[in-house]
Amino acid sequence: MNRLKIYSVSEFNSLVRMVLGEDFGTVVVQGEVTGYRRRAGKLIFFEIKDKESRMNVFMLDHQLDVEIEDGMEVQVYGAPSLFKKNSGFHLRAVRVEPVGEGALAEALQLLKKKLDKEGLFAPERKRLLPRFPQKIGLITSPDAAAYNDVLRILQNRWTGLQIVFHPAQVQGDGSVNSIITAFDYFKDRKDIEAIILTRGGGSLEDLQSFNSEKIARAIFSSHTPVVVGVGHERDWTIADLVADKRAATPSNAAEIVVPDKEEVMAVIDTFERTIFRVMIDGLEDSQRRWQDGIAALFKGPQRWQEHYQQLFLLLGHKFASFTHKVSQKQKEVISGQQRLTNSISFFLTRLRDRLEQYNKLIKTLSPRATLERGYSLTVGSDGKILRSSKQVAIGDRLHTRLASGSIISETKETND
Amino acid sequence: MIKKKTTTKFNFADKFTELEKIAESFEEESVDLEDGLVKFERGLKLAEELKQKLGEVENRVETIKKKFSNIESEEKSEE
Repeated sequence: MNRLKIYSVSEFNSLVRMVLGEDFGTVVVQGEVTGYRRRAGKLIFFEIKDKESRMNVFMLDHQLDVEIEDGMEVQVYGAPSLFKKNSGFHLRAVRVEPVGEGALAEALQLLKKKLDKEGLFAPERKRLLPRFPQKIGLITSPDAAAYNDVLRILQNRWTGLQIVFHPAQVQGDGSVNSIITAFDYFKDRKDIEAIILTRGGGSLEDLQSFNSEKIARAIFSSHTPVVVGVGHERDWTIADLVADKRAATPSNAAEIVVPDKEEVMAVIDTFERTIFRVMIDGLEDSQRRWQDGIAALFKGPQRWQEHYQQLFLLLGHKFASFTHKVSQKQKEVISGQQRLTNSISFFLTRLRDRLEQYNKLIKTLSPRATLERGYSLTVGSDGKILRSSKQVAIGDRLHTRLASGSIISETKETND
Repeated sequence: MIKKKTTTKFNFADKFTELEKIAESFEEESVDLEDGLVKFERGLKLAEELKQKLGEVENRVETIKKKFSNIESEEKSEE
């Protein structure tokens, strides 16, 4: 009689686990996901099934880099195993891949939903690009047409730009890490004002890294705003959604990041024109006000004094300093920018001459000048300026203003 | 992001913004002649400087190369 070896439970458990591990190594099992659940944040359990059988699958959170859900067809990479405690048979997975275009697209949708929920796509967090950048970062493949397109457009559009180019692999194995390395490099460059991440168009598989969670998070956590441009694609990749600004193509990315120097030149021209126009209008306006003031001076003797006083205040101390400034300006403008000077210097000269004329006129017509010519001003007992002897009665006290000093007198006689 | 403001380096953004503000103030407020002359001069000077800057042609490209654990950078300028 053959003697069978007697095992303890745990011994047999270990033995079977070992045998399974040795004989099978890593296998790939395809089936439909069902009963997907996550425990304690890190442990992932689900079953895969086909028409006849189902099998438990177990893996750890960080080993699953794609979003899956019940109903999805997947390929599970792993090895058969038993749990130590309850000997539960399961497939110990290290990797899961969705199967078929449908499943890939579905996984992508799930990832989009997850990241959206976390706020990675939120419009509020998108940062503004600087208006006139001086230093920008560029992440792309040096072999790609995208690289040349971007540099060409940047060169045509703007000047004095420093471009820091960190080459990266934009598709295939290793592309995710390659791009992450580039972002890590730019983390330490506080002088970079914007980053362009770009590549040409391609299939869903080609663009896989641009739909990866890792790159989405790298873009999101970048201190510098990121512009993403994937060539000729109508659909938005996840990188497009997280980007601070999405470009339709690599060339478009360059257009977004720098302004067009022709446009900026035109804007500066309009600023210049505005400044000129308003300045000249302002000068014409002032001249008109002063002219009105002078004209009022002639509107009858009663209003002389008030207007003169107003004008004197208005022009008085300002006048001297302003004419000085105007003639100064005229000299500078003539010696400086020739094309700008002609109309304004002519205008300023005319203005200055007019102002000097008015000044002379005021001096001549002012009450003071008149008094100095020998005339005097007499005010009656009612305070009114006398023009007619009929305003006065015998015995009235009169106050007479001379060029120097005044006289108080009493009326003795009047003559009409 | 730290915005660098160096006294010797030409800062396009700052000068443009200053000119923009001067033009805006001319549009909106009635111009006081004395202040106006000062702003007028400053505005024209800024416009001249900015336009001159736009006339320059070169961008510079710096390529980052990673060799093992060292990062080497080589500069090449492009016309």
